Amino acid sequence: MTNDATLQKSPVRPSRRAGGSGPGARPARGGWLRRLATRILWIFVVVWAAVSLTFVLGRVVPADPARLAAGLNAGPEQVAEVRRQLGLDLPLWDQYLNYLGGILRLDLGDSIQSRQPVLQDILYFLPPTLELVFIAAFTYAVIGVSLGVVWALLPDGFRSKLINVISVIGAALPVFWIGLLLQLAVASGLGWLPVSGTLDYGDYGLARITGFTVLDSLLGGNTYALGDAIAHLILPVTALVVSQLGIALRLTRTTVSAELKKPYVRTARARGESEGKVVIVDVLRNSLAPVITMLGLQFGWLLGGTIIVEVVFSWPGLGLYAFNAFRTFDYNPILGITLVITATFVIVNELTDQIIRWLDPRVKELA
Amino acid sequence: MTSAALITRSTARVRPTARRIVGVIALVVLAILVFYPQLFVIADPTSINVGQRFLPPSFAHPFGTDDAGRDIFSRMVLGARISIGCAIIVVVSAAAVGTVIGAIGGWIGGWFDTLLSKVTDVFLAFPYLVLAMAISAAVGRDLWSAVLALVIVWWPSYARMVRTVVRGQKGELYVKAARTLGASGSQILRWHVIPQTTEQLAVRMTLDVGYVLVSFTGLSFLGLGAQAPSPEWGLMIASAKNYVLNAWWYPFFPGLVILGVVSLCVWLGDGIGAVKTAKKGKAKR
Amino acid sequence: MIRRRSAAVAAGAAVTVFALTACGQQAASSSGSDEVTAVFSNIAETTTLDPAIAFSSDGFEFVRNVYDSLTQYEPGGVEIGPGIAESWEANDDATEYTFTLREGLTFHDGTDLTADDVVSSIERVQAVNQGPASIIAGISSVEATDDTTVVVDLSASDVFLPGKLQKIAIVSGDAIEANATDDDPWAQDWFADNEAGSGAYELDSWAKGSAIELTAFEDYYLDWDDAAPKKVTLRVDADVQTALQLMGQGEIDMLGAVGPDDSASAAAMDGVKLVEQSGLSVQILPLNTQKGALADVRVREALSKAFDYQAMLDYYQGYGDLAVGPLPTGFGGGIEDLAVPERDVEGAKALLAEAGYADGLTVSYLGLSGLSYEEFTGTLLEQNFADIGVKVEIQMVPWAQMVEIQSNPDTAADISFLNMSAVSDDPSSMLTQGYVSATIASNGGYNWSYFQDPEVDAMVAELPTISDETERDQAVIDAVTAINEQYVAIFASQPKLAQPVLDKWDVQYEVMDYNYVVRFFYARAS
Repeated sequence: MTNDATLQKSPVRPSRRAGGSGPGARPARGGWLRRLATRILWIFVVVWAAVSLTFVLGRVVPADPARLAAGLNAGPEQVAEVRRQLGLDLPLWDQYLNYLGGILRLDLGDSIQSRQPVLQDILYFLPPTLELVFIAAFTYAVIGVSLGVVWALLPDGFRSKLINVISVIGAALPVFWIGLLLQLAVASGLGWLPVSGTLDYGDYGLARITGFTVLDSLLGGNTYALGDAIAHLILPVTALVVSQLGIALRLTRTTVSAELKKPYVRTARARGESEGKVVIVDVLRNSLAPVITMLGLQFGWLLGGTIIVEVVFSWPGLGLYAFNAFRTFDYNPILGITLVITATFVIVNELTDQIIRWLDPRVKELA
Repeated sequence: MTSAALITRSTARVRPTARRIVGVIALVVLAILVFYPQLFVIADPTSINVGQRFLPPSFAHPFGTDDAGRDIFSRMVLGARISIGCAIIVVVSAAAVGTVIGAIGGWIGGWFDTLLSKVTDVFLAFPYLVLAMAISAAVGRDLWSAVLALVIVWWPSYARMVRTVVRGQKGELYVKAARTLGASGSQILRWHVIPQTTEQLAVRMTLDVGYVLVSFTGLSFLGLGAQAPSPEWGLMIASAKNYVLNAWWYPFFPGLVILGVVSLCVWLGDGIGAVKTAKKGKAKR
Repeated sequence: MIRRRSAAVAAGAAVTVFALTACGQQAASSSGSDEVTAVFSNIAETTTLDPAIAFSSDGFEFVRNVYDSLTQYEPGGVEIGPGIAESWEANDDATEYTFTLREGLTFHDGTDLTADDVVSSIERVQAVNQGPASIIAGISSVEATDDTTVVVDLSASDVFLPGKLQKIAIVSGDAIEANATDDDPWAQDWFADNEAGSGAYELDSWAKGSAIELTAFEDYYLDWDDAAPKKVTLRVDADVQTALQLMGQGEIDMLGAVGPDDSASAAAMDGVKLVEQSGLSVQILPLNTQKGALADVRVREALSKAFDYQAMLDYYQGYGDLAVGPLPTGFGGGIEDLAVPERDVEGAKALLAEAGYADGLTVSYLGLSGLSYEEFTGTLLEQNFADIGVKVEIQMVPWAQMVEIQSNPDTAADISFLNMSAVSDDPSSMLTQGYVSATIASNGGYNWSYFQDPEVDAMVAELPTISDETERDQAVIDAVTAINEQYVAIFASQPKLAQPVLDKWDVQYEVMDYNYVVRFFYARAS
């Protein structure tokens, strides 16, 4: 398997096998243990690179975090003292090593804004975001793949053209715009769904157990809160899903169409096997690998899109936290968020790779 | 190539000629929009007139007016240069960087190629939108930091594509022939091998202008790209967000135009791919 | 009050779509008692609950409802009156104050509030030395002479001390002791997300990023009114339009931080009314007096004359007045009679020519990104100054960056934007905030004009020491006039305070707490 992440940027890409040369492409020579080690090392390399890139570019700017941290009423000496406390008086290289060392000790520094450890903040704000992103990813996969398969099976004609139009628009919708429109029309105009947030406030006495509102309502046996939590999820999830739907549609269709033209399909049909069995058992199974890879890569887009969606829908998650950090030049959270999101993304992609290996014996043979 | 296959299947039924005509017209219009916006501007886009604030769309103001009474249509026309212009700059820079790195790696091969591929792989494994946001925020939140951030996350896919093509061409007969005739490596690369990538590049770049436009306006929407009072489209929607209840047209039209331009890019990209495959098909026959 | 349920019913409907089991009626009854509740939405969340640090409207919103102070302003007003101190006396030259506390005060944890707690609260603010500390910098010592008497000594006369002590929350001395550590002698870590107050409300929970829940403190020293909210939710909606939509759905009762440009759209909504009060704020465009063409007072005067003040008011659609100078007219004492500025393009041109800039010049404007009216101001300046041949380069940045740019004399913009608000009944502290040498931006203050004039410094410093009111009013006018004559800023407007609330509420916003704070104890639902 390769790590062809290019799919995340455009729906129409060379197959993921083309020219793949990531460590993933190399068949593991040793046992599974060695393979696991390689994969984990790979995750670390990617995360390290993302954090380093952001760190270096961030520190090049002539901005002064100490000035900000010291507060508006601080005089020059206080600023100097804060600079010393934050270690900003050290040479850049030492600061960098300190930061990396901090990561190993699970210390991502403090946020200037919240005055809390960044890791604590991130752990607090991560669950609502993961809830949003996982539900969106699931919806995206189900709708995108099933509609894509239908499209591939449809004869050319009006219905096929219609899906084609959907696929073009669904790849071109700006997520912030569709979010605003949904909010304005469905929530504010029609009053069908809540405008923003994760829950109506103060009504349910819902205990925060996991931070996932849906899960917490289930655990608390609070059906009313559950309904409300789901109602709050619908619009943000819709915005995330429709703004990328075209990509899933197109890739699924292309893969399935290509598979349908293969000789074995003709043979099977000639043998008189039912069309349903051919499509479902053979074609879909053989199309799974590229589709799942695509879905894994689209997850990276969802992680970015959620920042925008959370801003539009005031969703109290990592995206809104990131947005505030961006606005206030709060370096440690910016770095921490880069780290956590990159790690989440790489891990999800590694997991999709594993799923494919498990589903598709041919890939296993390759390895 | 798979990429061509991917494209054609969905669109082979549309006759390439019709698409070509529409495409050329659209590109000409966009080009005029970017280079001579004055031709389209119907009212002074910077002139504020509070008495005219929040006028709904009308013949005089097709897209209505904003909170300062400015004509939204005219502002959007001026913004085209920034939004589309930056998207094109990002794509061209990313393609240039990617092509150079991909071509050199693919041509030289060996450990150098392995190193470049590994770097490319690392970049490809980033959640690109998040990284672009982080970089843009860290570097300084203006137009150019957003452009830089997008180039940083966008070049690797080009590098990989070009590298694959270059490696494929390396063993071809004409390359060997050129060698025998005494052409230097860089000459062959430049005059014979890289041109082989142009069709794929054209498809990718056309599509990417659309996708970069969405990402770039998204960064601006978050305040990480263009800054007020620039009429950049994403920023306009961000400002409009403050008035959605008074003036639905304020965010509606800029978004609709972004959607239109991106759809056009996707559609044209498909078209170029279709033409190319059709040619190849004929040649084979 | 029973919260409207339209959205919740829709939620129930959505659930059936998802074929899950949920019944919209069941839980609705759980909170459906007669108890009055209020949901207040602010634009930002406070970063800390610590009253010794919090000094923004979002922080005040919490502190003012959970903590008491020695003195307090009348609800929504500018008159200082008794808080937990029932009376006080000052010596003749206003350098020593004696406060007498009410009897039988208790903290939320049931312990008694005594003079010792007042002493440790003031000492804690001074030791932490952030937020409100600068306001009581004049206090040299504080002492409890018995359980209900506190003596405060000042290093210099200050007739405004009672008005300033409203900013000092009284915290439980026991709580400081119990939660202090060797590294943290004033228990700052603990106070950052806990409270130890005696105010009308207790902290129930804080879900960071979304809401703070408060419940009524039943043993409060004042009697609860049935129509006052017993449960209060302080929530955050970064986007005003979203908040307004929620208010339209009945999800939010009151909004804070609505700028004059948004008031009009709020007023147009069904079931929503505006609470209009005269504010104590002035929007100023500081003119950088330390460098370039603007170092010449004639250029500054020309720019002031070229500005279209009326257009600014038009933009606010009636929710603003002309400003007369650095102090809002609400301070009274003759300030309201000062002349308002007028646009005079010819006069401006003449002044520019006199200063040697007949051919024009270019100035920079720095505004806060995301604030429509600061962006509008930039565009307005561009248009107005074009009439006198002056070009404007506009830069919009987030607050943190704006402070950074302004606090460096080399990078500070020629023109910027500030909302100046009174935080006490002391006009001199508002002048100190923005117009004296001690607070120039490079020292970390709001004097973004870099205006340094020893004469003005002296005039402002003398104000709190004048005990005769008529004499003091005249001295205030003199100081304001001296500042106006130097054209250190364009006094763009005096925004009116107009915050949206649901129709049923009878409520006032706290002018002295940055305009956006509500003391829910005094709010009444009908």
